[in-house]
Amino acid sequence: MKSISYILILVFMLSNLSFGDELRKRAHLHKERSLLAEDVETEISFGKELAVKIVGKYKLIKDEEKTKYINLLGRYIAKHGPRQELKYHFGILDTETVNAFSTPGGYVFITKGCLELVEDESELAGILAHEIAHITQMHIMKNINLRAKEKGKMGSLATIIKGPMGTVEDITLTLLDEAYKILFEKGYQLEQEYEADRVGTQLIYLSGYDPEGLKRFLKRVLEKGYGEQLEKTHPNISERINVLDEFLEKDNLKNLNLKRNRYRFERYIKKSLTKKE
Amino acid sequence: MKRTLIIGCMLIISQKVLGDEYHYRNFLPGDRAGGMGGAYTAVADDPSGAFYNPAGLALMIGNKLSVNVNAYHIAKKSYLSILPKTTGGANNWDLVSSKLIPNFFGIAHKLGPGVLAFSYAVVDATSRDQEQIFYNIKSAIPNKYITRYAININDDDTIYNIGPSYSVKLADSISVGATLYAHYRSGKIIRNHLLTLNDSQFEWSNTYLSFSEYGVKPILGTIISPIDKVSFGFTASKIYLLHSENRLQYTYRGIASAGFGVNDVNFYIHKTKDKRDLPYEFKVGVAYFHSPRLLVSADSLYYTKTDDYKEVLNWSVGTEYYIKDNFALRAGFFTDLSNTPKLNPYLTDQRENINNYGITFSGSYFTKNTSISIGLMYVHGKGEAQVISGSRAIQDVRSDYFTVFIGSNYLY
Repeated sequence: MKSISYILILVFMLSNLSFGDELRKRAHLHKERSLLAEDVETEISFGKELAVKIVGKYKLIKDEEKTKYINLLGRYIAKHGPRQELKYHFGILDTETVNAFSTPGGYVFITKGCLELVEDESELAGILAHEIAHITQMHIMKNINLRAKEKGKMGSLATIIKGPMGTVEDITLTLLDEAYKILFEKGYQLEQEYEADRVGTQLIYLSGYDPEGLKRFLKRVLEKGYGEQLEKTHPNISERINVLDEFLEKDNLKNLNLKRNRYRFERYIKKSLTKKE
Repeated sequence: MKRTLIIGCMLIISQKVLGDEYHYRNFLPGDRAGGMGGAYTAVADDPSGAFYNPAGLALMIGNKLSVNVNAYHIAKKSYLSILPKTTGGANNWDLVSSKLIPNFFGIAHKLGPGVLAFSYAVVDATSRDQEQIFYNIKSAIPNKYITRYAININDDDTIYNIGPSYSVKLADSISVGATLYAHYRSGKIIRNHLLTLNDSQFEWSNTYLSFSEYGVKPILGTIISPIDKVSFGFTASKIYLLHSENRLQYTYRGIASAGFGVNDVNFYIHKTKDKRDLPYEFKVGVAYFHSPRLLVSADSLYYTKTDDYKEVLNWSVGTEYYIKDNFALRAGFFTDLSNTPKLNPYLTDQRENINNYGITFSGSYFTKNTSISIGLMYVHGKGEAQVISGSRAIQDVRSDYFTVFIGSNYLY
């Protein structure tokens, strides 16, 4: 009985340690994690097709000035993160729905309804950075297990593989449907949303913006009563704000008084949106 | 039955020269483990962990399929100066075994809270097919010598382990696992000896021994990582034999001067179901994961004393170093000591005692989801044997094993 107690105590003590996983990651796993050219190619072409589906659902606002502004801002933020091999494209969707989307390969969309709730450039930067983080962390790619077929000596071109059955075209369509469902029905996994919040927040800090922009925006979404709408594809907003707050605290990103650029935002986005209305 | 006369030559057939059951580490399954000299008890994080330490399976990254082939395995055992020549000096008697064998297949897949694996390992294999002729050898009979001594050998002895494993992480720093192998051994020994004396008398013997055994081999293991970069592994296992069967058919025709007529032949068949008494195996391993590029590990393996074998303590040390992200080199050293006692000069018909020491070396090339390895294992052994029946004479024995192995892993 005594020896069992000792074993249980030992197990308890060891269970509080966490050296188990990291130490086993050998150097070749860096290679596994790194992307090959054909992986990126596959990611971009898949993301482009998914983006076309999104634009099919909600039309793009064809306003050169706003689109240019949002692209300049988005690309500036993306410049401070990983995945520099991607070219990012940003667009505004003509819908009152409050949401933002991104697809693999660098395609980011924000809805008109979402923009109406934004009050400054740091908040917009926070939303775009959150979507950029979904791309850099390859959340959709991981969720649908999409990768390029390994380029071997046979010289096979990059193709989408998923399971042993079906043609490449069939499989692509199935995967597109799966990805579409993630964006509009199921949402990402909880941890992926939190990861996107954290990575996105770090990204806007590195870009020189107030890292609390996203948090302020989420609070406003709640205040204005759009919480339920956003929560259809996102975690509970109050909980998300709490977690985000912990990140900010832990990463020392609170009360930094960094730029918000309210007037520039209003000049390019707010006024023109209002003007249209 | 007329008196059997062995003319100062070797014992025709004996347990002493069967498959190598006097060592416990004849093969080192798995390309990575093999390259590290089998020092894998605290590492074990791929499908070959099912064999070395099932607790390692839960620490594996992704699902893996692993195949290992001993592309070429050659083993030569030389009994030195055993056949004295009439012209002075003596011939060695060599036993050569060579085999191409797929000695490990394993697949491990995440299932439920842990990892389920299924593996197949060949832990020992001997295959000899040789013919030897010696001329003008001294005999035990005064004024007579052997003009021609022909030995034909056809041996085959393989031990298979096959079965499932399951492993779970109890916490980030502790995992436990178990393997339940079915143990199966099957083989045959065929020996044909013909000696012709200088007066044209001859002695002939033919032996056919077939044997098989099966049982179960549970392996229990745990891996803990109590301090940063270091892990410890522990395993306990034993083969429980459920069935064993040996059948010996022996035919002998002695020389005329020993009383054998033209048609006199001794013949007998002997069957036995005696089971070997096999030891418990306890392993303790330590691994130091210095960096993603460098890993050093060491194992200590203890085999308990049984009615048939003495206790043995073996060692392994191994290292792995990535010279590039996609290319790793490994090296290892291990001992494979004999489980028989040292030979006593006052006794006869004793089992041979050879202590083996091995070095291993391998290289692996990694692509995104696969790796391919090629490795070499060289084992050198020295010891003593008594292969002349009824004689107290002890012969020096030297053994050299050389194995080229290739292996591949697929991460999916």
